[in-house]
Amino acid sequence: MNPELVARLPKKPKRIKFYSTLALVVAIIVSAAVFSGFSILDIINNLRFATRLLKSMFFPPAWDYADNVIKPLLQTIQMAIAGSFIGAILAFPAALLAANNFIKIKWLNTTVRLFLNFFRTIPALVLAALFVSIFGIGSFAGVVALTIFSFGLISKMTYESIEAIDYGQVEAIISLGGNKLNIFRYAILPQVLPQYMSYTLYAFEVNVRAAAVLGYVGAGGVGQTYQIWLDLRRFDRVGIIIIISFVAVLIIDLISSAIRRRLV
Amino acid sequence: MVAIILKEHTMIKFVNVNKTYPNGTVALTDVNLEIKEGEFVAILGLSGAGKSTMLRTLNQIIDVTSGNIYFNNVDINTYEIYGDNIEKEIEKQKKKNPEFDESKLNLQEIDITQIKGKKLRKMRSNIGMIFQNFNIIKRMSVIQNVLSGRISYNPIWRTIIGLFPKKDKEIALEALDRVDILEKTYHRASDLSGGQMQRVAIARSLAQNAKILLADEPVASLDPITTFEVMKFLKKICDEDGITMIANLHHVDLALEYATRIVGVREGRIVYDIQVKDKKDQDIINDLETVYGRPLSQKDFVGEE
Repeated sequence: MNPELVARLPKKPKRIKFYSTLALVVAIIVSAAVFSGFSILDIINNLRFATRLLKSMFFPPAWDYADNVIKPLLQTIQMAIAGSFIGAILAFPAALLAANNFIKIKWLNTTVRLFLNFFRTIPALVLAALFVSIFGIGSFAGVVALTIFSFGLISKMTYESIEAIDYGQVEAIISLGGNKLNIFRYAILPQVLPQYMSYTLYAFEVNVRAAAVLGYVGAGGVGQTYQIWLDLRRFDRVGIIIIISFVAVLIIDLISSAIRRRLV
Repeated sequence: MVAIILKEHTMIKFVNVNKTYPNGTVALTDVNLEIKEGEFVAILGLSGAGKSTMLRTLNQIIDVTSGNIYFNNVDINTYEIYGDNIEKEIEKQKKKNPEFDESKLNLQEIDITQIKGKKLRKMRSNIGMIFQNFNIIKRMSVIQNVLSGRISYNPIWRTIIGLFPKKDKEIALEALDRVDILEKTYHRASDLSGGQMQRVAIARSLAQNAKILLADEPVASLDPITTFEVMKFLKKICDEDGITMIANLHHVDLALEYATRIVGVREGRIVYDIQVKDKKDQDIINDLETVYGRPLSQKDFVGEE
């Protein structure tokens, strides 16, 4: 190599940061496996049980039971729709309060965010169990659980979008003598509406999957059917529920993500 | 007759204005400036000199750390700015509203740094603003954008559902016609070119019925040809409507051609102030080297039209 060129070359940056990050990630994965008692031997030893189970589920599934799956599955989807959309409606005002470029009161932003984080921490299944004990067995408890779950998810993503808007448009509305509601209507809503709708659809996709297990704690939908046949060890029926649910989720995801692509 | 007429003929008056941002940046130091109605003031200075801050303190998008900014002859019932030429403004009001009762006028000097809430918003509705990045609402149509200039004249429910009265639509269409962009009325704003977007922004200020127009680098994102086009529209509406214009510019030749007065800002202080007609262009250009702290070069000029 040309020594003159090498002499003018800036010092090669050390990649300490990269290697230390890599070491840290490896350490985290290994320690997580150790702490959780993960063992490849266990997997190998139990493989034959797994194959037996799979065989009883899918070879063949209980095709004749398929008709009975549709109704609880539709109920699950209805729960997911209701939960995501009610959650989305509640999420927007919360997102506005959390966004530090709309409400410039720091303690209020922080309090609202804390509150939103709190809801996001509780798993949907736990929420469902809690609401079953409040409202009794049935899909209403499931809808409330999914509402709160969607609320936490959508409000967080929406307030982050609000904080990322072009603030110039807000300045323009202020300069026109606009108040907070005008700012919301003319500067914020047009900028975040597509993202907000996209988050709502995304929450719906997540909810369809979450709703499927909620029945396990008595919160309605296809989960309740799962529970019955798992308890009775009718794995062929469990198999057909999984197949039909999988197809339904696939179709919903396809449609929903196609719409989301067009939105943003 | 009018209740109080202040003796001095000054529309806007900065008195010892200082601005220090929370992060410690000193943007304005001891700014004292008087602006008369109908002036076209170009503010020149390097970027970071405090020009944008100065403009934004005028409509209180940015508050001041200390000092006062007075607006002369403001009716304290409506917070409309009557400015220096009260008789003309009263005539204009009478033309708009035959029942206009001038005996109810209560004109006073208002310090915009001391008012808040609804009063401040009413004051702002007199003061238009044009931005470097246009700041029109890109996901709305051109007509909706211009109608947004009418938000302070309408009840909140109308502005929220976007249902403006017929007379406001007329005002908006006339404004679009005046900046020669009527044919784009129903287009989505994001489909327009930069020059067209800026004309929509000007139309919005016209619809707002601004008495004062603040322009923050109005042509900095535009190519030379569009630059002159937009400057001509700005000059035209100011002349026709008697709008007082304060514009941050970074092209010296634009200031010389369109402004009546040049104010130089350096490190947050006003260091230069001259009526353009009082001095030869070349002398002003020479003076500006002290404002900029460096010799002027090609990039400080747009060049030939």
